[in-house]
Amino acid sequence: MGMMGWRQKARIFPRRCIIFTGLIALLIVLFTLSLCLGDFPVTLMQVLAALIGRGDETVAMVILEWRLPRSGVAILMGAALGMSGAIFQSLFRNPLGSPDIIGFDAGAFTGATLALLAGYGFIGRMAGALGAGALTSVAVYALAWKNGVQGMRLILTGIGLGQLLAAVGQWLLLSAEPETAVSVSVWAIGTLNGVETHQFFVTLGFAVVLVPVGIAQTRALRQLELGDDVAQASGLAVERARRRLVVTGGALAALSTAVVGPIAFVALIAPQQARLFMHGSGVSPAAAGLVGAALLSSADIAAQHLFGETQVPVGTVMLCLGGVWLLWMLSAWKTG
Amino acid sequence: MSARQIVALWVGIVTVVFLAVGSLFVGRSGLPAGDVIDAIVGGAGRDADTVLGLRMPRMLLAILAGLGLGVSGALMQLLTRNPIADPGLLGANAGAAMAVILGFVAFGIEQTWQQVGLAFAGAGTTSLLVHALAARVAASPARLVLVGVAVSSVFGGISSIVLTRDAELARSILGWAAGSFIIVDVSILYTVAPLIVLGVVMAFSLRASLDGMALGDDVARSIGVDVRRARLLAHLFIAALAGAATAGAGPIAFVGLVVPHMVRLVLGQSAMVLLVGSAVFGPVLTLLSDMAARLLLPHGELAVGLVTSAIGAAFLILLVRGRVRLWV
Repeated sequence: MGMMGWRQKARIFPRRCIIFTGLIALLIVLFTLSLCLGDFPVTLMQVLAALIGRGDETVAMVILEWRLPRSGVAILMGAALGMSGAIFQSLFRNPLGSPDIIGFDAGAFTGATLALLAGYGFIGRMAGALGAGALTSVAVYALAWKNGVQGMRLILTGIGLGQLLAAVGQWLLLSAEPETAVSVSVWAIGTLNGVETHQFFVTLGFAVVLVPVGIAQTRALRQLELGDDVAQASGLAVERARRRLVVTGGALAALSTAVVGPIAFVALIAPQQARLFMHGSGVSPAAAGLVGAALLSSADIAAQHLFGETQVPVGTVMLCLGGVWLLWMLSAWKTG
Repeated sequence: MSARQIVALWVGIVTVVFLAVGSLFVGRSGLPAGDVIDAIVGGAGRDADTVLGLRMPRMLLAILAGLGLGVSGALMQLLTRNPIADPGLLGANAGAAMAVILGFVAFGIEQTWQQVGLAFAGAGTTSLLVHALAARVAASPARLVLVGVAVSSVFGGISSIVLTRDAELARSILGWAAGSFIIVDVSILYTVAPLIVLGVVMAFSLRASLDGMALGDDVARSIGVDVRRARLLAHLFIAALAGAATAGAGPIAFVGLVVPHMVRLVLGQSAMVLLVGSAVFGPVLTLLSDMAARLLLPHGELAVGLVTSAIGAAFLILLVRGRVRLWV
């Protein structure tokens, strides 16, 4: 910031404010929309009445107990994934260094399937997903390490190991009961179907702690982006800062995987999109969190209402969206 | 071809025959070798059902899939001048799977030939799409793979959307989705075989054009190669080979990556050598993987897709770490 003249500052600051305000407004619109839409149509006034504790009891139940937890979890998870992506992309200094590309999702899928086949319940499945996801990310990173980690090597290693784990998961599913197999494969794509009130509160509890912790490390992230030497010179304890960032980013990714399954592409798209909006060089966790929340909310609205009577897992919508986005991004990287 | 290449290819052919016969003797039911020979020679009796009805078709499908995946991988690598081109990584599997799943849901297809036809169309469309997009986007081998990942994501997402709306179908394709040479319906063999054999034979007709194109499109044109036509035909053959293999055996990853690559390293890189070599060593890899799938576990079986993925992942990692030489 110090090197930046006041003129540039003056130009960038309003832009940043406008974009943050815009994103928050967009989130509020999406949130309200997701509360209104559904088989049981509710008007905007009814939503507001229910939120402040008035209005018809049936309507209040539909909104507060059925729709609110799901909409809330979508926003919180989107924010967690976006922030986690911002942290890892910065650490790897590579836009593709997000948890889904480096094998976290594939590992989580295998871990969850293993836990399920071993007969563990919901908690065991989460623990399996988190453990295996973290282990896979470490393995990908270690296998790609050769005098440092180069971007494309990391990505191809991640793709290779991801394919292998997907094959392991598919094979494990064969020995499961057909019913379980189908439900695991739905979870493996990531879904918000059937999110309940207590899950919302658990998520909220974690998010209240983790999100500020993530935002508080924005400055360290900026310093690390300049390179280790410069960061050290500017007074940052590099290794400690990096460890703290890895733990925060990992915890954010793990939280969302544990609650809704490994949803692809949010952690990849949100920070990049935020960076485009901001016209900046670095990825800001706060902006990435807002974009991630908006992204996952809109994807979930689509997953609930775009496909007729059946609700599809939000992960499938993200796969389609994300694939198209990646293609668009690849062509942009070529020219830009 | 040099004497060394010819010897290597003959060794490969003998290995295929040896493995093919050997695979009849290996299996979960643990039949004694004598009974297997009786069943093959006599063609009747209690064990004939196991050997001729289960193991023989399985062996034939392994060979066909090896041919299809190996040769389509070779075509892809020649066509893109890219060492990590593979029908699986570049989306052909996902495209074939999506086409078959949509066919089930939209038209209620049941006939085997309809499934194979759709897989062919799906693989072909995807192969063309990925290459058209890559021409605009990809400057490096890794980017081409990312285009494949992106397209696979979209098609995989669409397949999943369809499958969540149809749990019955989702259950019924679990076995296929893991990748396997176990045959439920023998008619799949009669449908897949002509397509793959034809695809392999036709692929050889392109060898001169592909050799020219290896030097760059401009050089190829200057020596009289119709580049557009050759490229279109190559995609058609890739679609037939990869689509039929996927329709028969499910998504078997990495065979099309590993086999042509090894052939190039050991035998040389002319199109003729690469195509023949991949046609010979593709079945070697699939037969070996299938035997490993049957033998590695004390009880039960691995899916063959898992074995080839393990081999392929290890290979890809060695490749990007520079242990195996990249050709470009």
